Amino acid sequence: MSMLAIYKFIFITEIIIAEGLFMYKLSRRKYFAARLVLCIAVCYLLTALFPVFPKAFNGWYVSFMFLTLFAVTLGGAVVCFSAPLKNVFFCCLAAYTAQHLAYELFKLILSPFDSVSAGDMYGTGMIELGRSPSAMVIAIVVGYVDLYIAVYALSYFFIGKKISDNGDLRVKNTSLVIFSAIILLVDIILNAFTVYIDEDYNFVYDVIICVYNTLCCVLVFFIQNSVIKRKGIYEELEVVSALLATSEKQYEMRKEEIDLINIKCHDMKQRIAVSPLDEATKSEIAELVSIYDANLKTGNQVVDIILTEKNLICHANGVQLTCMADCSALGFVSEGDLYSLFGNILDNAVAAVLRIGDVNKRGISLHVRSQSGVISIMAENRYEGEISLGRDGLPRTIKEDGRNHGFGLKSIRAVAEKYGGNAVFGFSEDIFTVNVLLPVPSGNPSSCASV
Amino acid sequence: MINFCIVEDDPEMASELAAFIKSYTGESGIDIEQSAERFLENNPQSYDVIFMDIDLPDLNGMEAVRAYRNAGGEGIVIFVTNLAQFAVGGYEVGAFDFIVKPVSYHNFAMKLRRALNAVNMRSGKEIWVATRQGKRLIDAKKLVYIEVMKHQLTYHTFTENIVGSGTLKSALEALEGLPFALCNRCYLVNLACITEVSGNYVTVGGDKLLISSPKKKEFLKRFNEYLGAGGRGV
Repeated sequence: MSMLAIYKFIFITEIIIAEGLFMYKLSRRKYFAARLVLCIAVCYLLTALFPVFPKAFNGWYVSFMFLTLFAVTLGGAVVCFSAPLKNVFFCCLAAYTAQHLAYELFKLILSPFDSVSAGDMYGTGMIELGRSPSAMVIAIVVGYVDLYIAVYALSYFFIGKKISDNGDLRVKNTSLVIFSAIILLVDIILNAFTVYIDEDYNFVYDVIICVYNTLCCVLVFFIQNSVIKRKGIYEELEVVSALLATSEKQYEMRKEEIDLINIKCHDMKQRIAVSPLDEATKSEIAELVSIYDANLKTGNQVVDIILTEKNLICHANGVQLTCMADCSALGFVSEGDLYSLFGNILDNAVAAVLRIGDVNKRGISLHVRSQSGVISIMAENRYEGEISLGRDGLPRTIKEDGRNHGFGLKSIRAVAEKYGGNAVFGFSEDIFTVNVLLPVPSGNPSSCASV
Repeated sequence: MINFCIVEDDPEMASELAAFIKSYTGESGIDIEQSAERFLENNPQSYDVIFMDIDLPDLNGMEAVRAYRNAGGEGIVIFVTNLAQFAVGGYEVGAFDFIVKPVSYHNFAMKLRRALNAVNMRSGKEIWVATRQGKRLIDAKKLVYIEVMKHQLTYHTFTENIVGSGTLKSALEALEGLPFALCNRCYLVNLACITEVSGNYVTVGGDKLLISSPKKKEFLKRFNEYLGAGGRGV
């Protein structure tokens, strides 16, 4: 009996363990336990049935066997997990990479020892060694198991952990996944061939191949890791651009509403003027009406509308909003972006001051001025609670709502950077500051203002 | 010591504001003027921070500040008003901020804090410069930018260029805390003297300097913070 007949069982076990490591977070199908047991049984059955001809195998055949067995586990994974096919494939690929990396490393470590080459796993060497158990054999077996545990643990931290807890892994970059699969495939086939060049065994040659193969596996891991990382970036981009799109819609709705209310307010003022009410009542009503007919004329219609809208919210919550804003040079920023920028700056400030217990501390100042070819937007407000600086350089508050958290500031920064500017956030004592700088594009006359 | 002036015709309001300033800064010598004319007559140039009521009898606050600016007044002006719409025109007369009546202490303190910060940024600092003729004192406010060439520093002021010795590091140390930023490896620019930022160039004291791409991000960030904190350009 050749070692390969035994090794194929070791192989399938290793693959199944690795796949379990990467996939246990994915969403499962109904009757998961039953499916799992059945699939594992099928895997072992097929492994047992896979013929291993003592002398007739070569690199192609061995590669074919391993890849077929891998494909069987892949099929089993699809049967067990309801996650999208692409995700299942990605996880299985990562699993095979981990297994192969461990194998290559083992081979590399063993290569200085002349008597046993790991390549012998495919041949008969190990069996012969096994017949005469020695400290050497025990050391090899223990080392083998330890190495696999170490490699699996590392690859789990490198990739497995990053597969989101909810299992909502969204692999976007298909070409990178396929590319990593091709590298792995080539690596496996090449390895299988090198094992069969027994005739002129060359130690140096063997080590070189091993190093190359190991590096290939590491490279594949890096590609897979970047696929997951990119996924995070894509998601963030999606949220930010979705927010921008919503802003645009919101802006249009608000604009219509406010136009309508302004017309009504205007009518009402006219009627009050001619009504038989006494002067005191008249001026009182006129003042009430005037909160809408906003005193906020900034030189940019979009900003006027946002300020009117936010001012109402502030009014209702006892927040004092003061704006000193000259927005006449903001015409080069699109309506949606303006709405998003000012909307987020003010929403963020309003949310922060509403968390303050003492109503007297609820003040927000907004300054917009255009100077020296740039527009400077500054908002400040008090806050309560802890703020820490996140890894992306954005401050985060300890808020209850987890998911959308921090996107407001990200979106502010995204808009600023879109126009070649920047956003700086500051917090000292109990005051939070947002500074946005937007360079005015040259050739844009500062008078070309609102619509 | 910072000089405050409150221009307010309502004595109650004026003493409330004075109490707020005192409790925030500890400063007690705060001048109160009841009319804009009195303010303009009594050496208004000496004030660092002026709280100006807009709705004053005879000469209104807006006009008073215009006259004050025309006479060369450079103090920080914060309007105190119940008419928010006036505030939007505040930049025309170089106002710093405005406060709406009734004034709450906390909102007042937040604005005062920023104003004091700006006073601090504007306060002059003189730096020692080593030239071939010996040491000289230069007013950092009049320093437009410094050109760095190996071990030679050229100080470009509004009136003259002074060649001194030193390195970028020594210049940065001397200007610690002042609004200076590098627009490229060779130029350390006084942010207060910037007249224009356009594309990759910054105009400062009539000279157009290149903003290099490695320094651009940090330079614009510094300028952003400077403007946001109430720093002013020329």
